Amino acid sequence: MKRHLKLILLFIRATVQIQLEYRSGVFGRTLANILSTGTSVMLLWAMFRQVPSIGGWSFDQVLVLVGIVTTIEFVVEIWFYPSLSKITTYVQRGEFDVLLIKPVASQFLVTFRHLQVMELTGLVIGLTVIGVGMHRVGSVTSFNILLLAIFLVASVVIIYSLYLALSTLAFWFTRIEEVASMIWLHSTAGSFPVAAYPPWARLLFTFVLPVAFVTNVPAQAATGRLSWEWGLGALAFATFVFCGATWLWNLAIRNYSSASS
Amino acid sequence: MPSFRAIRALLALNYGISLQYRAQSVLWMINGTVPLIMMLIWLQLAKGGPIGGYDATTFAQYFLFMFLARQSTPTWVIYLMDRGVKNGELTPYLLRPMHPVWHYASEHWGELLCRLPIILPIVAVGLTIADAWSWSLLAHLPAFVLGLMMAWLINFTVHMTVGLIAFWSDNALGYDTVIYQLYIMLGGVVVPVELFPEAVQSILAWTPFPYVLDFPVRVMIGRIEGFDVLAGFGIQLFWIAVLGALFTWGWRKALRQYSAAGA
Repeated sequence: MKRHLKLILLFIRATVQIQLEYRSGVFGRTLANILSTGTSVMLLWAMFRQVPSIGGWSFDQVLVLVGIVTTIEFVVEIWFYPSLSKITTYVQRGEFDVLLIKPVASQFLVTFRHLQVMELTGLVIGLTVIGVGMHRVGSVTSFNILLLAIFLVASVVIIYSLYLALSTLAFWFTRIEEVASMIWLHSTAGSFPVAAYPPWARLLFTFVLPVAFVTNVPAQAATGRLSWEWGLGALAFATFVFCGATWLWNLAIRNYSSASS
Repeated sequence: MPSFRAIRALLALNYGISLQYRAQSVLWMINGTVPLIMMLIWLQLAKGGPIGGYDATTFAQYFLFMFLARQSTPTWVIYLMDRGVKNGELTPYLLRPMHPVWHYASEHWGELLCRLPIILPIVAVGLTIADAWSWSLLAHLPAFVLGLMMAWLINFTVHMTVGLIAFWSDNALGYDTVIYQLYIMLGGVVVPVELFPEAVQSILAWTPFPYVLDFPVRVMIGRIEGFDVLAGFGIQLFWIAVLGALFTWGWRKALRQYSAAGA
């Protein structure tokens, strides 16, 4: 465990060193992030000028939801996109062999090798929006914050597992580069309460593209409206997809036949 | 301006390339389904009665044609220019007897040709399910297609102009995200522009963004009629001219700056 933590720190240092070469981008991207979150909130406000509630949620409650979507989007951008989307490249170029002979689990290596910690500002924006929303709802209690933290972790585990599973498919179909777009779609669909969709789409957004568990459950936890069925459901779902993705990864490794000589 | 034969050859080439990578195209298209998701939400909301003059049929038509408009105007030219400058891929294009713009544009057209056979049936099926067919759509079709072609040009020149940043900075792709957000969110993909607060609408009217997606869609579903359609085309032309001039000017400066990496 200690060895793994040490490795993660080393990886972060290496990635930061590369990023410092291109630091001009950080300021611009922070500005872009503020602009895009601002536009989302403006659109939300425009919607609520026309209707009193969306799927039974008030403006402030949906605001918390937008904050959660933003936070998760940035976890993807900082962590999963830079790390996991390289799997395809490794496999295509046959570089994967090098990873396999390293003395740590390959899943650990592909998961933590490229953490773009310089982009943390985005995370701050997301958490700020959640905070403002919770304050306006009047649900800022330590219990709700604890619940929010637990279910945010569950969301991150779900997204990670789906991302890993989709990227693992690269072993069989070597051209899946735009896996990330699936996740972006997720962030649009997830910016609204699942109850706002027609019934057939609710099923789709719970089990196929699980925005119900990933965004709705943490938002309900933060605003003190989480039912225990949904809470347990989210935790069970997270465990299930994590085990599934790890299993798929190991299966892929066993069947991997190098692309290089 | 290259000859018709040259353009046809480029188009055939890029159509072939797009066909080969169609798995990727499908994933891009999934990403472009946001208007359909928003349609589901607005249709649920409109069950309680029309919202801001939009009833269920209007919402269905608006977002289905928004889907079509969104899928016909995507632009990844900033990415192409960034790559071209960074690893010198631009150099061979410069040696050819036509402006590199034609290469970039034809890559987008090839992709579009691949997409249309998938997009159009989705729109047709959507209109049928939502029971939103009407004869007036047919009457508006020519104006819609013309508006969409000009919209494509606006979007493409905006991106080309912003893409010039690639010649001076290694972070042009960061601006791609900004432009994309504005194009999507202010274009009406999430909330129809007519339902924006009036103050926001009047500010937006001074930008090219509502003229890319919202304007052609509103022409198609008959929410803009008569003289206003002509005025809209006029403003579209204005933006194409302004942005085109800006691009031409910037391109000259950029080429003087270009040091052909990897050449």
